[in-house]
Amino acid sequence: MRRSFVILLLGALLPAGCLGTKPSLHLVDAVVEADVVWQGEVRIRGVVTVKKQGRVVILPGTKIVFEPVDRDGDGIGDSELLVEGALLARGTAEAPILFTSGAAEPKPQDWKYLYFDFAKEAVLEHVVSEYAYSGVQVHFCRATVRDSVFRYNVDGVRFSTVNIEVAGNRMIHNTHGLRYEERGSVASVHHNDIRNNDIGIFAVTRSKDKATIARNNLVDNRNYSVKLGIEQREDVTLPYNWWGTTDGEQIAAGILDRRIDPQLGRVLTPAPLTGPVDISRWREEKVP
Amino acid sequence: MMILFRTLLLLLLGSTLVFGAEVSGRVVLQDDPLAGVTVAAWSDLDFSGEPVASSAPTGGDGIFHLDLPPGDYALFARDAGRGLFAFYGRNPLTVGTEKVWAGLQAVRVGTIKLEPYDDEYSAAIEGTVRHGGQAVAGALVYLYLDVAEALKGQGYRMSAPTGPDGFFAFDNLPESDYHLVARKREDGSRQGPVRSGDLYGIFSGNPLSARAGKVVAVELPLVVKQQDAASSETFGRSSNTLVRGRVVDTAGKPVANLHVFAYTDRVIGHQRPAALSAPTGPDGRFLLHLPGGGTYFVGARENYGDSPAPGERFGMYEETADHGLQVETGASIEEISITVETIQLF
Repeated sequence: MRRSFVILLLGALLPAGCLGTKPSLHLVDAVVEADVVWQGEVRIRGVVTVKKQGRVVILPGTKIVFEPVDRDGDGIGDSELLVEGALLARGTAEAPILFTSGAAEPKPQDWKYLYFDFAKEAVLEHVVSEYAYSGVQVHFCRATVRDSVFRYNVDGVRFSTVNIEVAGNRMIHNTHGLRYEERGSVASVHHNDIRNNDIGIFAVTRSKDKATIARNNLVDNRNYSVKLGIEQREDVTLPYNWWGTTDGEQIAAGILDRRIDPQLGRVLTPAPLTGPVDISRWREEKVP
Repeated sequence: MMILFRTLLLLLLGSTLVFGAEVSGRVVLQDDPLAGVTVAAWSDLDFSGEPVASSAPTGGDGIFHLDLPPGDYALFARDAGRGLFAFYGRNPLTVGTEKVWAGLQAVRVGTIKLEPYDDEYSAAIEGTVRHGGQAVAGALVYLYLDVAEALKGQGYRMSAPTGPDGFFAFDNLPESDYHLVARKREDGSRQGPVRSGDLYGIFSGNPLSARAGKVVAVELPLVVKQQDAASSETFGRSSNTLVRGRVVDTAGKPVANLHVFAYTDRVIGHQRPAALSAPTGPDGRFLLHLPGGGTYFVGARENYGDSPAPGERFGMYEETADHGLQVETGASIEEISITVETIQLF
């Protein structure tokens, strides 16, 4: 892809209603290098890159549809939104922003991901991200992910080497609700519902136990509530979470750590909560 | 007389064309020249087969000579009688048409013990890493299934860092032959080239056969990597597919001591790049040798291996949307510019 970038200077687009059933915007392997506003329906085919100088504001109620294409035949859709500039997706509780599959019968990994990489601004509020490989991936930048839903993905929320707040979200029905590699991150993961995933939290590697992961509901995850990757040799501490029980043995039974593989670190779960967290109260409740 | 001179000159030139270049070097055991060993060249790092060429035994000065056609070779020496094994620290060696110097360092071959393993369906390898007879703590042992990647990169399995007793172990291995390499990098990193001052060693019994129901216990002696030219502290080999350019900061000023990397995958992960340049000079200039034509995703950073870290200067080639650079085999791309910034998370 040489420098024949599509420079989108459309600014605010026509409301979707004006165009009948047509999407407001159809992007195919496009590059965004200007300030733009997305609303209505935006369809993405292939890789759409928001370059460093690009800034996308997505209005409440916007539907971003990723068309299911698998160019390399690896079984993972290749449509994605890659953000190296700024993306501000601020939906509302009444009108969330939807990132979804364009397949007739959607399923996990129909599209690749919403991917922040060295992004200048990364804000997700009241979004729903579904049927992706990763509902969102965040790397090498500062980001906030709040009041959103990540469902039916392989990875709901995934990050490494970031300054991130993940609060008030529901990560449900994914293979991994939250997957992270700490790698020097400043991360605060609190007041989230992480349930009904195969694995609630997957701490892959390079965690030095600096991330704060507290006041979350970690319940009803099928295989493990927490799993350490094979290279995670240091302990990981998850205090003040609701595990569905306060019984240490029962909590431990849902964790893959040194108790199962002696080469791994331990997952420590001090001060388990005695009842579920109201995730909507993340602004008021202090995180220990 | 003139005809004779011309004939000799033609013969000399002819022999150069046939033989490529003379490879010379010294074999040492610790700091002492090692006499009476034969250095051999293999076409790759698997020295279990027949070599393509062998030197005459070294003299008292430890010096050997080999005439080799152009190509890549791995140099090893073995003296079964004295229990010695020597290797060239920058294998594989690229031979062109100019003379090459290649020093080999020898170690004493340790014992191999076979003991029962409590799992009859899998195998285990364990052992001790030593340097100068002392156990080495903090070394990593790598298992490779073949030599296709020149025994570089993470390999099939990587051990946990050795403890004060130098012990390492691999459990639950499938039955196979494994190539063992051990490295201890002074900077504590798990990946990247071994630099001068680091410790490293190739197991003399490669490939090591691991069989179900057995633990094979070995000793892995290391040597200190000797001073190299900076250009050798890179991945990949010399090639005629080149990229040249400059690394600058956001103000356009040249940045020294950064490596330019090239990945074949668009999402640069934690894997080894296909090519890595020597550090940039004060003028920010770099030269990147690519393994061949193709599309490479190019950038610059301070470190190598693993993913970039906060505080590290990092940047990608920005002239294409996906940071990809297309290069034809044998071509040279000139004067690209890569702008780096410090990774900040605040």
